[in-house]
Amino acid sequence: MKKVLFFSLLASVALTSCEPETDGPQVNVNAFTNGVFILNEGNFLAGNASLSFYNKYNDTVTHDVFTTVNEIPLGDVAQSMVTRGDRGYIVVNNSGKIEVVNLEDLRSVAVLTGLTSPRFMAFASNTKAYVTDLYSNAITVFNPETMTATGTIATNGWTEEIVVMDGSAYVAGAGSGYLYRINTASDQITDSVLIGEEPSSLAVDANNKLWVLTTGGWQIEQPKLVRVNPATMAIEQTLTLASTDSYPGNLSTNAAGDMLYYVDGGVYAVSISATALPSSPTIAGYFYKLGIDKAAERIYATDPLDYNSNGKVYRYTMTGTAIDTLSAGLIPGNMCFTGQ
Amino acid sequence: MTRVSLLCTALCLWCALAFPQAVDSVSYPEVRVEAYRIAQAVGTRHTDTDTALLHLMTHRDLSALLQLQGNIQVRSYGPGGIATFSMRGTTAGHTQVMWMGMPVNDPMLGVSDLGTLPLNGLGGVRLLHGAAAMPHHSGGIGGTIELVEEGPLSKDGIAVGVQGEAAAFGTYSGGLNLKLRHRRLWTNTAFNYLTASNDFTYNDLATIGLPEKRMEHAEVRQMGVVQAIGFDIDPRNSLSAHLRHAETDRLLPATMLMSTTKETLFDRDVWLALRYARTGRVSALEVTSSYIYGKQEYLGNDDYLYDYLYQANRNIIRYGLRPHRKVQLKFGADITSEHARSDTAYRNTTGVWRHWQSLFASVTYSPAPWLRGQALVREDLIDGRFSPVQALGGVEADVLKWLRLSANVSRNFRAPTLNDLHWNPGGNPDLRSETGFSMEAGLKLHRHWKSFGGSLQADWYRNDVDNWILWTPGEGNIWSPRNMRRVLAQGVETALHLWAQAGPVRMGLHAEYQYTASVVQQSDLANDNAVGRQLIYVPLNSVRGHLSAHWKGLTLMYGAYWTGARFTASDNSASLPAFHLHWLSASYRLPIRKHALQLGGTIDNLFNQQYQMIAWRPMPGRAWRVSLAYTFGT
Repeated sequence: MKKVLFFSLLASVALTSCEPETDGPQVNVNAFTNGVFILNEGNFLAGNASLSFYNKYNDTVTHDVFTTVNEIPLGDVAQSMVTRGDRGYIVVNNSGKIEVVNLEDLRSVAVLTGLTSPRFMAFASNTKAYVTDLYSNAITVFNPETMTATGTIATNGWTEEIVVMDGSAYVAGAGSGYLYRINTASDQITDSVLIGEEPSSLAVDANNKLWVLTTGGWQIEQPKLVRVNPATMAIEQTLTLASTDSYPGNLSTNAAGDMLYYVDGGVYAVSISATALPSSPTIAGYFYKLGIDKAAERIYATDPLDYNSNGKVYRYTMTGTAIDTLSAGLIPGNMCFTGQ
Repeated sequence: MTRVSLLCTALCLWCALAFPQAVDSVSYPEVRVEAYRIAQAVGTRHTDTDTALLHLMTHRDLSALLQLQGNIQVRSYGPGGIATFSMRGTTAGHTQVMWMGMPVNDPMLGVSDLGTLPLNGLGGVRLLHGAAAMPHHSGGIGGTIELVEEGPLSKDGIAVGVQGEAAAFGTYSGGLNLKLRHRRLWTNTAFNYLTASNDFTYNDLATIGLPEKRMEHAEVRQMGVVQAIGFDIDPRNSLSAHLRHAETDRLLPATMLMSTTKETLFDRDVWLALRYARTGRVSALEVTSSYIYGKQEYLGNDDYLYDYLYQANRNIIRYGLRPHRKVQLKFGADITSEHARSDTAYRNTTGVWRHWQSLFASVTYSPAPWLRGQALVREDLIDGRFSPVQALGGVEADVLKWLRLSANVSRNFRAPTLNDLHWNPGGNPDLRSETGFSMEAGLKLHRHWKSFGGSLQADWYRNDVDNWILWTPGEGNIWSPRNMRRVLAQGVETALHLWAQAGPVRMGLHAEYQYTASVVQQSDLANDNAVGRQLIYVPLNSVRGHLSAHWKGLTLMYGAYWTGARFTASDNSASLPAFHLHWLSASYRLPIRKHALQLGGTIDNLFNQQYQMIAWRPMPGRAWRVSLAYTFGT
């Protein structure tokens, strides 16, 4: 792996040196600022999570980049990742931590530990961020500059995805069935609305409406895609999936925000003005996680194969035409698109 | 715990009252009924673990013993922690633990946790490799570990043993053994207790700078009671009752990659068996009825206490007949009911049931004293559905006085576990049984002279397992088991044993080498990168052995084992490095008439190796143990 990285870096340096000089700012094509981080979850308790990076500059995938640079394992179950400025924040679920890396070289610069089972994070400001949790019955508030916890917000059970807009954080309360609204100034839950069984995934469309996707709890109820007015927390529309055997996730939008995408085995696309959900997928297959590269207008779908060997990531156009396949690590899960 | 203590006390009192004169041995014609016991299948391999090792490890659990001998792979999560095992390149689920002729694996998971099986009170541990246990039960595609009950005193009297041990990392243990016989009535009692902090230090490989850390949240408490009572009706007929009760309370430590954990696990196992045995001149009968109870309470990081409970009633009957001096017939029938209940694991809150009936018949023919052959057929009926027919053909030939050749061909199967079938969500009631087709050939050389001798045993095996069950996420990303793969396990097991007597000194050497290639041949999964690869956590090579020297009451032992690299990803893209461990032990036994004192000391992991059996689970470095035992026997 080190050899691969070495030759990759060597090739990159060679390519860089061949590029004509430009008047614009210099771009470090070896930085991790224009590409896709693939979070390879690894097996629960096995501690074999890893980070792969697809570099758009040179169209190459480098595996295990965190460990190669920092010479320590990433942790147990790489869950999610967000970027802000020149830093990347990697939420490692069963390690109970958030690793902070410099996107120039991926050096670990800080870590927040002691979390119970963190899932997703979002920024309220440069000095405030939230991270949801599977088990702690609380959302942790922390300062992303100092990486110190500053407080908690009590919740009723498991919380999943979180988005921040217009001074409020919206949290999918997967354990309670509610969508919560948190005032980011006071860190208080100010409103909530009952959505259904296991609301887990959130997306904001072109009209600044909040879409909430439930999983249905698998065979408990039919999953739902629900449109909520974030200002009033009123449910405006509910679209229901056909089967209780469905377990959809990874709700995302395209760049324009007029189409919604989710994965439920295959990849489904639905217009924000649709009155019913599609009965057949845009991309047929069996995928684990879904990511939308809004800058490049590409769909990424992961395939963990047997969940015990290195998986794959398939790339498609937004209409579902296959482009190519990227190699990945063990159980490729959520992805983080940089440079967007 | 209180109830158990009361029960133990009551039994001891009963024994004391029933045998007031037991200390004074009375003259009484020995009445000893040899219980009818179906041995391992002809042409197969078995290993009896060294009794010296058993005594050395008497305060530990079964996993500690089997790391030292037996061509077996133990996967331990740490001292006192969960420990599973596998034989011949299969998984823990393909290997059975057998007690009183019955499999006692947890029917929910299909495995046994060796960490919950204390050694005190056991008379021996026997490994039945491959198809060797087919006369007993199905399911042991890789093999079977037989827990052998301690035998009764052969004549009237009493035998008492009291032991205590202190060890590194806050480990203290003690045990009590009591054996009594009065005329036809006998009783064996054993009690053991262990507490360990397991607060050893290790280098944290998951943190920059590899800082030294102390293991936390790894405390273990274990208690075990063994009680057997028997009555020899006459020289041919006997009745006995057997109880094993063990409780293990563990804090489960975090891996090196977890910042904290709250997980705890409590296990309670109660095994009860009643046996009637009759041994005739040309026939033998054995009837055993048992009740197996297992309970687990797991406290997860979500602060929820998960309850798992299983019960099984197993009844077996075995009949052997020798109609001719060259022919031996064996017949058997098993009737088993299994019940498992959990408030979280199954949709049905009253639990799930499984009813299992089995029949087998076997003929062993010995045309000459040096030649034996066996044919065996077995059929199981599980909830009204016939299992794959099982069969075995085996042959053994003592071609020379010092050379035995053996071979067998067999077809075995393993039924899905109750969790495989009923787990909510994901259980798959349509699962088929795994089938194993195996062949084996071996040789055993043994020569013994006046002051030197030894044996060498080597076996080659080939085990083709189809319909291999694998849990993978299916619809809705819900993990579900499927008959996914075909796996071919091939290998060689060798064991060398040498002994020599030099004046008053007796020396011994026991060494084992194992080669195991266990490779996925086919898969129903598209683009399965595991095809053509070695199974995870199955080392290609492993070696272990020990040297011993006895002089009068002094015993010195030195042992070592080496385990090769083990893959941790099914495409073999990641692995754990090989490790080697060494241990040294010395003990001195001082007999004083009918009394004896024994003082012992052991150093484990002599060279302070840092190693892992399971990824990111640190194991302890160098550790000492000191023990003191007192025994009295009439």
